[in-house]
Amino acid sequence: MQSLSWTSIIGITFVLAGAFLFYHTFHPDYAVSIATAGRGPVFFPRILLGLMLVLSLAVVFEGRNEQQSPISRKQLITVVLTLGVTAAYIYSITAAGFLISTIACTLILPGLLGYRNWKMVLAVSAVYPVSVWYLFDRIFKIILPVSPWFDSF
Amino acid sequence: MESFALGLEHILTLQTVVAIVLGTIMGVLVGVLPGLGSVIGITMILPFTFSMGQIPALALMLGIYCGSVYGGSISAIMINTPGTPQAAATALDGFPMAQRGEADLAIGWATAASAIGGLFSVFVLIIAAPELAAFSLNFTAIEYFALGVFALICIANVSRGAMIKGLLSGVIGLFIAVVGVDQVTGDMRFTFDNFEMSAGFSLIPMIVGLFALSEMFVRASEAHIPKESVIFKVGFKMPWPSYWKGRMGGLIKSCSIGSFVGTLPGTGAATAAFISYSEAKRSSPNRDKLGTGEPDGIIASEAANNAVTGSAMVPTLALGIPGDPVTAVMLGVFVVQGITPGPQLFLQNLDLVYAIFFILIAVNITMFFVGALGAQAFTRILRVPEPLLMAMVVVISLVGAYGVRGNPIDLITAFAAGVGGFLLRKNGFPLAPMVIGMVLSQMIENSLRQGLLITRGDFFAFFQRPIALTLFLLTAAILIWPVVSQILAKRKKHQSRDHIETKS
Repeated sequence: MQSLSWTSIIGITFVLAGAFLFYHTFHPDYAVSIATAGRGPVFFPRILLGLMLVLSLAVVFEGRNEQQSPISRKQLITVVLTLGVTAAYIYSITAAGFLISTIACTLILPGLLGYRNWKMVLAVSAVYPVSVWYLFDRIFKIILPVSPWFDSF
Repeated sequence: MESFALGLEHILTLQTVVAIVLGTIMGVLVGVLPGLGSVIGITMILPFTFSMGQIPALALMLGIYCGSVYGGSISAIMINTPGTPQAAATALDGFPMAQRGEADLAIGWATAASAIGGLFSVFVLIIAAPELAAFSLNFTAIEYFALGVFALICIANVSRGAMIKGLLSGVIGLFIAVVGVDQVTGDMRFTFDNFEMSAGFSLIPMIVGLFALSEMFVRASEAHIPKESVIFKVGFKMPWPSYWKGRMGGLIKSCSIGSFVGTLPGTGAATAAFISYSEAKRSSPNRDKLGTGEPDGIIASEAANNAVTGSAMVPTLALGIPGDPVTAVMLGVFVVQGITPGPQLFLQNLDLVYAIFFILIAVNITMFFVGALGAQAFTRILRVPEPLLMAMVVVISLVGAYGVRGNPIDLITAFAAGVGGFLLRKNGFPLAPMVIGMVLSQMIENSLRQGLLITRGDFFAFFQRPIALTLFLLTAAILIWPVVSQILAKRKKHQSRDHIETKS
């Protein structure tokens, strides 16, 4: 049996999501049609979700003929780790403060992507996060998350 | 004539000239940094304008406005992260050009097209401001809906080669924009009782995720694949006159589209850029190369988005109606400076109106030189080793995403968009239609529902309005014409083959 291509999997995901969301539009919370001539809050979304269902099914069928390009174990590990580091960075921005988490991110991410000049990495990690923090937090006054351990950053 | 001379005299002061130069430089910097944008740029200098003279204050503000619209293209070209939503279409061709080592030329095209677009719209403003303002009053919700549907052709045009996937991507973008508060009834939609979702998905974090983060994840997936080294040319390369051959028609068309869309309140430079890009995709002699680093794409996007800057002043100055959030803030500055926009402005303060025209001309020329001189610094970014550059891009992009509302949910939105964008890109789904959908969704939905209220639910009444009917017919013609021309070409081929067989 031929395995499903990623395109078909994406199509199936949107079919399921579209079907669920379409069903959700019949929730009693949306029954607000009196003041809006019958075109309530879910009038336009239903049109879109209907289109999404049709197009997603078409994508599923289109994906049946697609060849899967192989992905090596090394590539997969790199991608998963990169996603993980980025997710951890985003979480730590609010947990540990912008400056500390950004220093950590600029130390780890280049190495993960194959860069081995550690002197350069250290230099960039020292200068870049502080510059960005200063520019946005102190000059543009876009208050970035502060760490729970220090008052000023 | 007296007002003309007085207007010129107003701007030829040291304070005004300094304001023009400083405002333009600040505007370009604000535009380059993702997540800031024109509104924040103007809001930041707003307090300073209170203590300035009338003309220098206007000069500073207009410099930031025009500069920021152009500045977004720099980061779009360099790091595939549009600094402003208006530059999202520029990334489609600008970034591939930079990737093959032509960043200097890409910036040259963007700078030239932006300056020309901006100057074109100033001349439109000078010649036809009151008439255009009067015409824009004919646009009701029904006409806006027709314009939105016309703009949706963009999705079909940028999806050639992956039509079904592109259309699905576009519909997803249209749907993402409806999450949150319904603007007509005030109800929450698809928030599932989650308070953070009540404001919906902000456009900037979505763009940051779809473009910048997904690009990083794609690079991560290709980190172990040996690549041909590209020599990145640093600096600014002005396209030679010979490069413009065959592109002038497209340039004028893009300027015209931007100038027209700019006069309509509630549309904006992003809409103009995508309509123009779509038109280039349909009619450019190099349309098959659009999306792969073709200058026509950069010209279409940048000429149109900067052409909005001057024409957005049309409803603002002539009617006192702001064309978009940026001009709404600018209207505030006008009022604080004692200027009352409206028809009376052209009768009682014509010298001031001329001063604004001259300021816009000066700002666009200054913007060209700022871009040309700044390109040396901007393009050096590409010489940074890719893994370091990617880490730096992630940081600046997420700061941009967070900076829009100061809400951590925007970071999660950017990450989710990045992961989704990565999976879609790896499987041949174009992402530009999604951004187009997000930009157009609100305008289309609101105008459709308001239009149905006007016509008491009768959709066919939409076709009774001449401007709307013209736009609908144009939309149908553009969609159907490729199919018709293919059928006609096939028929011609069969006929000539039959003719040859008969002869032999």
